[in-house]
Amino acid sequence: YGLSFYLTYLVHWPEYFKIAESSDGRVMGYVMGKSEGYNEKWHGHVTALSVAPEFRRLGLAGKLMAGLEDVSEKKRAYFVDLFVRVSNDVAVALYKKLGYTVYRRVLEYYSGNSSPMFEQDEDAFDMRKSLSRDPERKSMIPLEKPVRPEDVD
Amino acid sequence: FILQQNNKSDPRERRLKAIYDALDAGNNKKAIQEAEKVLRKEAGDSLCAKALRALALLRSGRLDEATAAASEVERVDTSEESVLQAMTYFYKESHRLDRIAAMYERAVQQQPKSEDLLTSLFMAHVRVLDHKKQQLTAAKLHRLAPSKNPYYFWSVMSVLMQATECGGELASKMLLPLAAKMAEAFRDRMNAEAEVQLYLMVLEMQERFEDCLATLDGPLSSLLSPQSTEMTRQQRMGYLEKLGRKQELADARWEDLTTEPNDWARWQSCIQSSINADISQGGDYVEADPRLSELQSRMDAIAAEHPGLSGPRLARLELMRRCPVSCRPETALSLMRSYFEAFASRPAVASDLLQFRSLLSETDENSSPAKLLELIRPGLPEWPKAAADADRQQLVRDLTARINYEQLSRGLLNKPMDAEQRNAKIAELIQAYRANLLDGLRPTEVQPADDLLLLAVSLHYDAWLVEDAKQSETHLLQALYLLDEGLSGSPSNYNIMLWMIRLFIALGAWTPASNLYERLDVKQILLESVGFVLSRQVARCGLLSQGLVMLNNTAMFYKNNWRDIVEHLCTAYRIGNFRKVPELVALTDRVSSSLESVFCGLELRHQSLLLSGPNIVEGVYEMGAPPESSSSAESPQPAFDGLVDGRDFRLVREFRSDLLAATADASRLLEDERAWLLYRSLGLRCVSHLTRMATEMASTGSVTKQADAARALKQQLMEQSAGSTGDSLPAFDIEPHPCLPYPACLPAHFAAGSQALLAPAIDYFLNLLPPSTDNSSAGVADASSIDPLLESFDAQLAAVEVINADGGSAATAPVEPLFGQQLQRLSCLCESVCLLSLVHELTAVALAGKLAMSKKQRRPYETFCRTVRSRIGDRINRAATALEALEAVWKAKIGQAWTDADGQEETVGVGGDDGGQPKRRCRAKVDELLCQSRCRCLGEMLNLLRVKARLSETGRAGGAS
Repeated sequence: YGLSFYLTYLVHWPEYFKIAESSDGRVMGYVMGKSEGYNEKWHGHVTALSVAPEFRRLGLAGKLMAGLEDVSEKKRAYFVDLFVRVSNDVAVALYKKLGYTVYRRVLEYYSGNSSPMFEQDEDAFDMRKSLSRDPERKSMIPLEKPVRPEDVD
Repeated sequence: FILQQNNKSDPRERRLKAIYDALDAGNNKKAIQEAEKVLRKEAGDSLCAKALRALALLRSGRLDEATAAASEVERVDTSEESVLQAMTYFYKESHRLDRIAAMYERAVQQQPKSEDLLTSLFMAHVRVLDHKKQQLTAAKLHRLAPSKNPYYFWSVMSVLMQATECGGELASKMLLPLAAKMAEAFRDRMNAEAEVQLYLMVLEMQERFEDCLATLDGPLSSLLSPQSTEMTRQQRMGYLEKLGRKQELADARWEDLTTEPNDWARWQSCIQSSINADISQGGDYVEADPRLSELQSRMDAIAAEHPGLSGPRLARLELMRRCPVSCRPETALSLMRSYFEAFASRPAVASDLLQFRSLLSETDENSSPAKLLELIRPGLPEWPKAAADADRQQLVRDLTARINYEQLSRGLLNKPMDAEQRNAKIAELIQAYRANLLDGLRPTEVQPADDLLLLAVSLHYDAWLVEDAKQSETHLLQALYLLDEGLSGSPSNYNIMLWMIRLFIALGAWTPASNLYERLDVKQILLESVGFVLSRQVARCGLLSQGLVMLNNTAMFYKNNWRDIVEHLCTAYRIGNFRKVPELVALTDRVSSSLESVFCGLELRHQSLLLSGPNIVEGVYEMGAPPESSSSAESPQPAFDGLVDGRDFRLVREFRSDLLAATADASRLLEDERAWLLYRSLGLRCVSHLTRMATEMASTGSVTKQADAARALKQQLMEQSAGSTGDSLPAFDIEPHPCLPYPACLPAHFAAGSQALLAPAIDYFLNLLPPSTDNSSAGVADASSIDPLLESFDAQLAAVEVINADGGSAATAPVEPLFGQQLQRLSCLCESVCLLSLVHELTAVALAGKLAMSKKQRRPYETFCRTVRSRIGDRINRAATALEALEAVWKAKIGQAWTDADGQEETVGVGGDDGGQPKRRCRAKVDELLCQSRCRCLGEMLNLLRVKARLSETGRAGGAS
C-alpha cells in the first residue's frame, strides 16, 4: 500500500494497528483495521493481515486477529469482518479455524493487476465472526446470493 | 475533486460543472476547453474558470502556461470558496504549499468573521508547519466560536509544537507553562479523550510525571475509552520509569507479563526493570546473589507453567546477556540446547539462539559452540523425503528442524569451510532440497525447503569471498544456477530474488536484475528500505536512460509523500488525534532527511546532466527535480549531515556473525554513502560550472567572474582525489555481506578514472581565452591546451582497450576479470565521453561571439574549434571501436549456452545422487541471460557514444535525446 493509505488508518484508527516483532527485532507480521457501520452493523474490519513467510506456522495470524477482535469488543462492535480472495484457500482455512464463516461472496471484488499471479479479476469472500454483543450470531447468517462490490455497505 | 455547487440550475454553475467533470475524469484537455468556453462567454471574468484552467494546464504538464494562468488569478483578492479550493489543489500539485497560506490570509482579510475561511487558513499553516501562525489562527477561531472546544485545543497543540520545535529555555520557561495553563483553564470543560491526551502530552513535556499519574487516576480518566486501556497501561509504566519508582515499575511489568507471557518486548522490559529495582536496593549483583536466583526461579516457574511457549525460556538467556555476572557458559549451553530440543521444529529458532552466541565459550571445549552442535545433532530427525503419501505437517516439521540446525551451525561455527567440506555440504543440502519440494502450493507461498537452497548459495558465496576466488565468476555462476532452480519452484520467494539481483549485478547483468526488481514489486515505502539494491547500481551499469526512470520514480515518491503526510497532519487536527501530530511532523523530517531520497535526487541530476548536454536546466526540470542551489559553484558544498539511513540490510538472511558485523556499523555505512554524495555533488557542481564559464565567455569574452569559483572547485577536486588514493580506498573493494553494495561504489569509481577529466576541463576553459596583448581583442589558446584533458581520457581508454585485447579468451589478463567490474569501468568511460562531448559543445558556446566576427578575425577561432572537434571526435570514435569489439565478442556467444546444454547429459551419479550440481536447463538459461544482458548494456552504451560522436562530427550544439 501507499504510505498515505497507512497514514489514513494510523490517524483514524491507531488502536487497530498491531505489529509482531521477533526476538532479534525483525518484523514478523502486522494487522491493521478499522471500525465502521451504524446500529447492528457497527463492526470491526480487518484491512490487512500479513505474516512474513519465514515466520509462518507460529500462530501469529491468530494472535494478531485476537488483538483486533479484542479492540472491536471494547468498542462494542457486533462483529468483525474481512475480505479474502476466494482462491486463497490457506487464508480461508485459517479464518475458519479462528471462527469466521463466509457471510457472502462479492463478485469481482479484486481487480486484476500487472502481477502475473493476479492478472484476472477475482471474487472475494466476505467472512464474519460475531462478537459478544451479537450472542445469537445474527450477523453471521450467510446470504444466499453473491453481491456486486458496489452493493457492499 | 469535490464539486462545490450551490445552485445546479444556475447556467454559470452548469458550465463550471462541465469543467469539474472533465477534471474528475482525468480529461484535462477537455477541462481546458470547457474553461476557455466559460471565459469567452463571461468575457473572462470567471475567476473560478481561470483557476480551474490553471489546474488543468498543470495536470497536462504545461507548466509555463499554468503558472501564467495562476498568476492571473493571484492578482485578484477573493474569498470565493470555489476559487480558493481550485487554487489549493493547484498549489498542492505544484508543490507550493506556502502559497495556500498566503492566499487564505488575503481571503480572511476580506471576511474576517468566516469560520470556514479561518479553518482553511489554519490548515494551510499546518501544511507548512508554521505552528506560531497556527496558534494565532486557532485563537481567532476560538474567539469567533468560544463554545467549540476543538479550536481552543488546536491552539494548545500549536503552542506545544512550537515548544517541541524550539526546545531550550523558551520552551521550558514560556511555551510549555503557557500550554499547561491553557489546558488547565479548560480542565472542567474537557469532553473528549483527545483533550485529555493533549493535556497529558503537555505534562509529559514538562516532566510532571506525578501529575500525569494523577490525571490517569483522576476524574478525567472517565473520558479515556475502553480501547485505550492498553495504551494507558503502557503510559502508566512509562511514568513510573521516569519517576524512578523502580520497585513499583518492576511489579507492574511482571503483572503486565502475566497477561502475555510470550511477548518478547514485555520480557525485556520486565528483566531490565527487575535488575534495576534489585540493584537500586543494594548495589550490583555478585555471583550467586540470592536476588538473582530468585529472579531465575520466577522465570523458570513461568516457563514451567507454559511449556509450549518459547518466550520464557529465551528470557533466561536474555537475563544472562543483560547481567553477565549470572552467566556461566555451561548453563548457557544447556539452556540453548534445551531450547533447541523443545522448539526445533518451529521456524526461526536458529536466529532466536544466535543472538546469544557470545554467551558460549570460545576457549572451553565443553561449552563451545561446536559442543552445542555436537550435543543436539543426535536428536535431529533424518532428512525427510516428500512423497505422495507422506504426512505433510510432519514432513515440514522435520524439515524445519534440519534447516534450523544447518542455520545454527553456519552461525555458530562462523567460518568458511574448506573446499572438500563445502562441496559435500552443498551436495547434501541440494539433494535434500530437491527431495522435499511440495506439490500444490499457491504461487504466493514459498517452499519450506528453499532455506536449504539458500544455505547452499551462501556456501558458494563464501567460496567466492576467499582471496583469489574473487577474480573468478565460477562460484557466483554456480550460485545463480541454483537460485534460478529455486525461483521456478517458489516464484514469490523474495530472498531468492534478492540474492539473484545481487549476483546478476556482480556479473554485470543489469536487465535480469532490474526485471527481478520489478517482480519484487518494490514501491512506496519499500523504496526507502529495499530500493538501494538497485538504485546504487545505476551509476555502474552504464544504462543511463533506464536508470533515470528508476531514480525519477524514487525521487517523486519522496516529493509526493511529503505533501501527503501534511494532509494527514491536517486530518489529525481535524479529528483531534493530537498524539499523532508530533509523530507526523517527525515523519516529514524523516522523509526530508532520507538518505535514499537525497541519493536518488542527486544521482538523477548527475545522470541527466551528462545525458542532456548544455540544455541541462530544462532537461532536469522536466523530470520534476528542479536544479537546486547545491549544483552551483557559489553556494557552499552541501554537507549531507543528518541523513537517515533506512536501508534494511537484514533483507537477505545471513547467519555468519562475522559477515553480519559488516552491517552493524551503521555510522561507517552512512559515512561511505556521505563520501559518495560529496563526490557526486562536487562532480555535479563542476559540470554545471563549466556551462556557466562558457556562458560568461560568450557574453563578455572572458571568464573573470567565474574564474575564482572554478579554481576553488579544482582545489576541492584535488583534495578529494588526494584523500581517496590512499590505502584506505582499495580498488574494487568487495563488501563481504551479501546486502552491501558491491563493489563499494566510490573506490571503484575512482579506480576507473571517473572525474579524472574534471580538473583538466576546468583548466581548459580557464585558459581558453587568454588575455589579449593589444587590448583590442582576446586571443585564443593554442589547440594543445586540450592535451591534458585528452591524456586523462586516453589513460581511461587504454584500460578499456586492455579488457578488449583479452576479448574473453586468456591471451592477456584483463584489468578486471569480472564483467561487473569491467562494466563499471566502461560506465565511467561513458561518463567521460559525455564530458568530452560537453566540453566540445561548450567550446562552441564560449566562442560563439568570436565565430560571428568578420571572416578574417574569426579564422583562428574556427581553426581552433575544428582541431578540438576532430581530436575529441577521434577519441569518442576510438572508445566506440573498443566497445564494438567487446560487443562483438558477446554477440558471438548468444545462443551458445542452449546449444552447449543440448549436447550435455544431466549429471546424475549412482542412486540418483546428482552431487548438488545445477540443472542443465538452469545453467543454460542463466548463461544466456547474462550473455544477452551484457550485449544489451554494451549496445546501449555504444548508442550513447555514437550519438555523442555524431554531435562532434556535425559540431551541432544541443542535447542528446
